[in-house]
Amino acid sequence: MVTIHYKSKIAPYVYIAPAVLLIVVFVYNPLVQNVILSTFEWSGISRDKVFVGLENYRYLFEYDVFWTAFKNNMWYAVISLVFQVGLALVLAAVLEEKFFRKFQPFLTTVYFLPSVLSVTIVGFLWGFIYNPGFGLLNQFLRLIGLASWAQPWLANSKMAMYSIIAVSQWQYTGYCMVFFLIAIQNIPQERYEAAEVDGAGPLAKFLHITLPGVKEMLLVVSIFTINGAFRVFNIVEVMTQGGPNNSTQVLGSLLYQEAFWYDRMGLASAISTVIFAITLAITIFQLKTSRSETL
Amino acid sequence: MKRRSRFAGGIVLALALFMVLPLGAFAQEKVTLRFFHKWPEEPYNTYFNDMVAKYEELNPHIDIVVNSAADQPYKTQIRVVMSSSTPPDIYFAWPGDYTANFVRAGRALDLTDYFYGTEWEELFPESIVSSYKVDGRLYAIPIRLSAKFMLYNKEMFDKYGLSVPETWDEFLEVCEVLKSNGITPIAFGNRFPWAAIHYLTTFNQKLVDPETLAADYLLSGGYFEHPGYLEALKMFTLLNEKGYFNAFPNAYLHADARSMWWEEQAAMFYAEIVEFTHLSPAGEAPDAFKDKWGFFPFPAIEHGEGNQRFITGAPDGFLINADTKYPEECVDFLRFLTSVENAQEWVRRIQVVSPVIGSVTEETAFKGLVEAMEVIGELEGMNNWLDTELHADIARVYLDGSQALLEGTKTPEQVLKEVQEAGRIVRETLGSN
Amino acid sequence: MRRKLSRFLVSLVLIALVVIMLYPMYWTVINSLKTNSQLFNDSWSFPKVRNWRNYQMAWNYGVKNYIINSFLVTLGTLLVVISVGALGAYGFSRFEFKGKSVLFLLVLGGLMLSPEVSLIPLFGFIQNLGLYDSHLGLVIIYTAFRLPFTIFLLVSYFVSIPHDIEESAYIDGCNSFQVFLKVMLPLSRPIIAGTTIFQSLWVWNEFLFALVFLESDVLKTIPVGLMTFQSKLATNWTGLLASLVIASLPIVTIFLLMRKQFIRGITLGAVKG
Repeated sequence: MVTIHYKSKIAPYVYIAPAVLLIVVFVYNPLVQNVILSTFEWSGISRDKVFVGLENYRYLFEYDVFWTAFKNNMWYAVISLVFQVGLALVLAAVLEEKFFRKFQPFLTTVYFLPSVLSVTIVGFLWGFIYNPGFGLLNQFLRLIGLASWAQPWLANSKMAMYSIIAVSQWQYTGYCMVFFLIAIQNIPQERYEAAEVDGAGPLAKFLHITLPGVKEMLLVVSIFTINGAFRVFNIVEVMTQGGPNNSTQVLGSLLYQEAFWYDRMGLASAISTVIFAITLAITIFQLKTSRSETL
Repeated sequence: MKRRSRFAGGIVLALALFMVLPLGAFAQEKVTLRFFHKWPEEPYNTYFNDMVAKYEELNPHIDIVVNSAADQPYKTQIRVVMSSSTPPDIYFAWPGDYTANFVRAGRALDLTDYFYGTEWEELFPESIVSSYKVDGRLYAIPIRLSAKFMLYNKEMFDKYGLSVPETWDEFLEVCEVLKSNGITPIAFGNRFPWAAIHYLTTFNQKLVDPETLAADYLLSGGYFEHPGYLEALKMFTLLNEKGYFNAFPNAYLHADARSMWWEEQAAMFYAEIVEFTHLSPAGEAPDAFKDKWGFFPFPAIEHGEGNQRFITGAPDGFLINADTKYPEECVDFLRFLTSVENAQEWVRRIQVVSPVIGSVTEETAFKGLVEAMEVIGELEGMNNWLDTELHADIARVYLDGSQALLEGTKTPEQVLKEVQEAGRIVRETLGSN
Repeated sequence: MRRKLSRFLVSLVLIALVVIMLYPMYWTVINSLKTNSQLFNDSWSFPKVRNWRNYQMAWNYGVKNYIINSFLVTLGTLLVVISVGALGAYGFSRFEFKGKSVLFLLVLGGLMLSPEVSLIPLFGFIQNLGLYDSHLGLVIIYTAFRLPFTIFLLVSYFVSIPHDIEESAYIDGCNSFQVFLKVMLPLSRPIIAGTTIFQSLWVWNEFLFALVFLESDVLKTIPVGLMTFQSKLATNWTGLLASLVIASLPIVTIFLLMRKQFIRGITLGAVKG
């Protein structure tokens, strides 16, 4: 039954106008602007913009720090997939095991807790843990007789990036686990019972029931993990600001520094566009895969 | 139906109003000056606020809006406010290319005629003011003076029979003796690599002859081809390789190194005179340490081609925006800030040096500061920070390179090559524009 | 037997993870009660004399302000994003109109656009609007970027609400806005609560925009305020630790008190999607 008000001509536009306007003006408009700005060379201090075509992109693709940053984002994505998707899924499956289910509320709370903290707080906290002098990590290594492993975690250009990535795993593995818990809880219990009757062990159940059952969620969590890995900024800004010697630079921090430290606004806009292209490609991939599955 | 849409329309209107409201600036009769400085920390902050209040009281028609941000954020925010609709009228800038950059962008008022040939000129030593000259014109009035000294722990020196080194070789000997006695010779924190830049600034100046140095820094000479540049990088690397710095300088802040030094975990610390304030009677250093320390200018490098009687350091000064509607008022405020009386107040309250002649006296400053001022007076000139003196793109190679040198991931030769390359690119792009 | 052994090993791993998650937090709390030299010499032990001065100083030095600012910005954003989002979702889910599918796609498309991509133009835009260095500017940007997801969540809930109750309200003479207020909103309380939790966590912890668009220390929110705090405190490490503890207390407390609702709110989108 459709009554007159559903067809009202003006009312619906009035309802959606504020939202649509805000989104167009503050989300889409800058995006377009950004692409345009990336073809200019300009600085925050001077008032003129010089059109340079694709020069910023050419520069970027020959700029070694850009590639360091890109590579770091890739590592971020790969390691995050291992922990925030792989480990998180296994943990969720374990917590859904009958024996462990009674500890589930407590363990979920504890594992989830780091993710509610601000990244700034977490960054500082781990900065203390990595401190070469009084830091917890080096002291712990000395305590268990691995003193030779002790090192300035964030000042060693070979270790610094991994040290930062590790912090993100600490913060978000529990967060991702919660998503898998929900997905597993939506799998009909009968399937597990039937498998048990057939004598399936925990591993077989995981591979043949849990894994196919959470396929959708696996895709969703993987996509937002990878997306997040290419947008990371906060933790790097707090812990190392891209140092030492650019070894922990990621696209986000490079964008910020080129723009606001070195005043190369056009170059920074070009980096933005690259981040946009990458995240767009990932999203399109997601839409494609999930559509082909539902169809 | 009509009522309905009016209802919802009201919400849109309210939202629109909500967004537009802050745009409506009200016309003001008063002269409003925006003043942006880089000292949000105490006691500086209160000093500026008090001075502004005092000035507003003397000039009731003037309203000064003060804003501030610390070093690193300042570099970001000055760009932001410069391109905003309310740019500052008076703002801070480091001397060298940093100031020249504002001049090139047409953001700095030429102060030459306001300054020279007036009584104002008499208040400042020309050698200090000239740091703020670009192509022979003056663009800023200095308010603070900083210079680098090697600070040392007198007790430690006495214990091992060491005297203040006057040459680079003697300096290395001192380091060696300290090290062989299990003492870290120099506390050094290079997490933010400007700390290393201060060493490199010093070495470059002492090793390269002044004409070549100036021409290379201004990009009007060679491309850093003088052998002194390489030797400078090597000397810096040597201090690290010999273990004269604490382990892992890249892991520590400059401030960490400072407390390492006054907690007596290291014998020396290369510090700015503005840091002496921490060692003044009210400073945060441990009280027991406050009469245990001394200082000396960086030792001479005897074979160096630079003037060995220069000191690394620079003034900090204020520029006036070329777009300001009230240049006279801005100049007047800067005159007020740098009057002998107010400069003395600056020294008295903050215990740092003012470039104004007669401001640092036994009455206004603690002993260490007065002595340092005497030493500066005997020297022949100042050598400004390399990272603000050089074009930002070249400075960046030095900054990043210093961390790589300390880690051993790059050699001095590699860093120098990058510096030369960056110099070439900057010159090409500047030339083409 | 094998089963017991593997259960034991798995339990060990789970316990190890509990320690890894909690010990750093515990370490922060105990060391925030020490002096710097105690931290350097012995960071493991529980402090015998608890040095509350760190907390007093952190609070007075600015953490109090940062918390108030974070609270204001979060509250402001929530009010606007939920009301504008609910109105929009109402329009999209209850009316037929020209261009609806295009406009809806436009809104949902906003889901894929991340803030960093728009940072530089927004930066100029916000300045021209005179919103630079103001909470209002942040609230508007946060709202714009959180709207797509809010509308997505609310629309998917609104379409599941049967139409009969609205019908009777219309028959009683209500206009569509009154129906929205009196019927839709009360019926969608659970989804609004969930969305609120999800969005507040995001806003509370947002860093990039707050870093770039706020300048004055007095306006800063917790994530960026703590950055300034570090330079203010220089090497007073234990003071910084105390400020971290204070700054995390509000959100941790809320989380521990409303654990279930919290997790439900966070996972809302993934479950619906």
